[in-house]
Amino acid sequence: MEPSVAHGSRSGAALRLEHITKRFGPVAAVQEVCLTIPAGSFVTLLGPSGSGKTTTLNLIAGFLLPDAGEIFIDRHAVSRVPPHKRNIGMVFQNYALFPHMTVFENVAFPLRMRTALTGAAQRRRVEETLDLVQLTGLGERYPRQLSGGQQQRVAMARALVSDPRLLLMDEPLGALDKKLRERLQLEIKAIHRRVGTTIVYVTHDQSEALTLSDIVVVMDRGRIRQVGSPRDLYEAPENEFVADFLGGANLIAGHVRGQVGEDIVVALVSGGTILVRADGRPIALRSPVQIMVRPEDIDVLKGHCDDPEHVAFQGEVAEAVYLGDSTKLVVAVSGGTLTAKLPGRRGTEFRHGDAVTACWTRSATRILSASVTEAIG
Amino acid sequence: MAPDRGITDAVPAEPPGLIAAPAPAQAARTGVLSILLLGPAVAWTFLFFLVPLAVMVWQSFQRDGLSLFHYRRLFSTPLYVSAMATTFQISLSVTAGCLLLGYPVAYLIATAGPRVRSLVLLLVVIPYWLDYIVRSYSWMVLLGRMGLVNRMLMALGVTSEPISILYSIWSVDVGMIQILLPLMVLTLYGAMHGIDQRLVQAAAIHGAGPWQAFRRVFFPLSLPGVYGACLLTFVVSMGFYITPALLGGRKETMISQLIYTLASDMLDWPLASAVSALLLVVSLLIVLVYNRLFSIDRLWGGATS
Repeated sequence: MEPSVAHGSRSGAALRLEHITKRFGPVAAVQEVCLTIPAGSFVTLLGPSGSGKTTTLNLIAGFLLPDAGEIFIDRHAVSRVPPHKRNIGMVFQNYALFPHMTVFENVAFPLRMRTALTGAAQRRRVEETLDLVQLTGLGERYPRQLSGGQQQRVAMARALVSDPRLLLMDEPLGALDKKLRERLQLEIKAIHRRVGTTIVYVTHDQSEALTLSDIVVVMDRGRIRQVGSPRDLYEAPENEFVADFLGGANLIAGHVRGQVGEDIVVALVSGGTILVRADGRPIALRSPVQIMVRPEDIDVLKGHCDDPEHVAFQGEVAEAVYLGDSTKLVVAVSGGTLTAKLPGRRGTEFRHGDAVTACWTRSATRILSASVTEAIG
Repeated sequence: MAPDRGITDAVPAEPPGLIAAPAPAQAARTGVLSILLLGPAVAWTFLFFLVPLAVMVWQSFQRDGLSLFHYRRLFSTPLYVSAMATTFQISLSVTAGCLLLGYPVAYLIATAGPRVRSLVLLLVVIPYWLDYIVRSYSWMVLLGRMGLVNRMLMALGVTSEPISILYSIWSVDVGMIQILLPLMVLTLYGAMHGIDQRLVQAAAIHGAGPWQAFRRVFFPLSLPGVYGACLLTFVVSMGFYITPALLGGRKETMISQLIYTLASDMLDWPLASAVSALLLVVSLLIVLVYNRLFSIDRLWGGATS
């Protein structure tokens, strides 16, 4: 591949991973990963540490060679192309700014390496990019003279300055405090809208992934567990791992007993049956499943819940935690606990030991097929 | 001064009470610990290094009372001044040779995988197990008129007569470089090891090929280590004595050899002391000037914030 830096052309590259596998000794850090990323999208690789997300990013960058599979950038196979010829920009975890160069020299580096821009044109391009990341006038400083947030912006500027069509970001906000992190998330999103480059962003922070991305790729132990929009993943997780990793979930074990009209009848392991609205996916009779309910979908009442459209459990309050904008209630029911999150001041009336009813509408419930290991057990 | 003291007296230095109480005790304990830890080494250095050094310097100024007589002798004899110059010249060429040979090796160790790294490190350290006198003698065998090198050159037809390599500046350089190379490599490796490899990756992903990444990122960042390692090698080679004595000719007489001859053959201890003091002062001056020229702060990019 012979990439050329097309200046002014501010569009992203399409990226495709085909059956990528990478082993370190006996451990497969990435296994059979297939992923298609449309041009110009903001994609987050989300997962706990050891899930293979950073390895995937390093494979895309070219710092690692895949043991199997192929990576395509705009239909060009690149897995044998060295990093410096891939025309990628990258923001590293601790920024990796060149300590012996000024901010200006750091940002000018990709231009010097990749383009014929010199003199005034180069200076103009660097200054434009410093403006973009709100670092106007700091070009003569050295990285060590800047705050963490400013260093992060320099790293952004360096990654963006030569208009790469693909931008990789490896936990770029991990070293910053929460407030600054949230502000920079919005700035990164704004910059993405302006420059239109494809961004692959690695994080273990689920709220960051939901805030930033068009597409979230949830990874676990070297495999992709689900790909979808933030809303898809949160509202329609396909498996326990995704349900639990994104936002926390109540999971209740059971198996499918049958179907009544629009509802599926699930017999719970702890006894009893509940009705769950079918969502159109085929589910085999008697297959083991997990019922998922998000904490904010559960309502807690002091009295009874008589609405036939609701699923209700009797229990008592085991824990009431005041969170300011909401209250978290842990309700002990037969066979386990349910966690509910009540908005505003609604939850403040509950005390430890209160007899309550936890209930939710059938449509707020989702059936997840239990993972294979649990099905055997 | 007086008003200052008035103010500090008015405000107690330590807030009274429970919180302040343990602090002096703890400070005293760490103080005692520091003395215990440093004490033996400091006492040893004082008794067996600083005291003899002071005696030596004192001696160099003695001739029926305080006198500069020995220094006048020193500077009026061309031999000592020229030996100082030779010492300087040999040390410079040895340092340059060690740097040229050592930098690539240190770079390999710093960037290789763990297995290659420990193997090469072992190879670098192995010569240390052999005393340097033995190593110097081995060079005499190799470089002599009928030594391995000459016989090989003649067998290859490069020369018909044995050429004289031994007892020249070349043999001294070869011997000293071989002895000092591990020092250079290990010091350089120590500095290169601290360079974050992700900086090199950052250069690569932003368009720098391997050579450019080395030239613009790795090499500049390794310079403080280069300066440090060169200074160390230079100062150590200034004091070399056995190797130039065995491998060098009359012209390659280094200052330490003269000191030895003066002290043990001619028993002229005051003059030996004066020459030693000169070597010490010159070495210190070099370190000072060098530090000024290559201050680490400046290299790492203005710590003037």
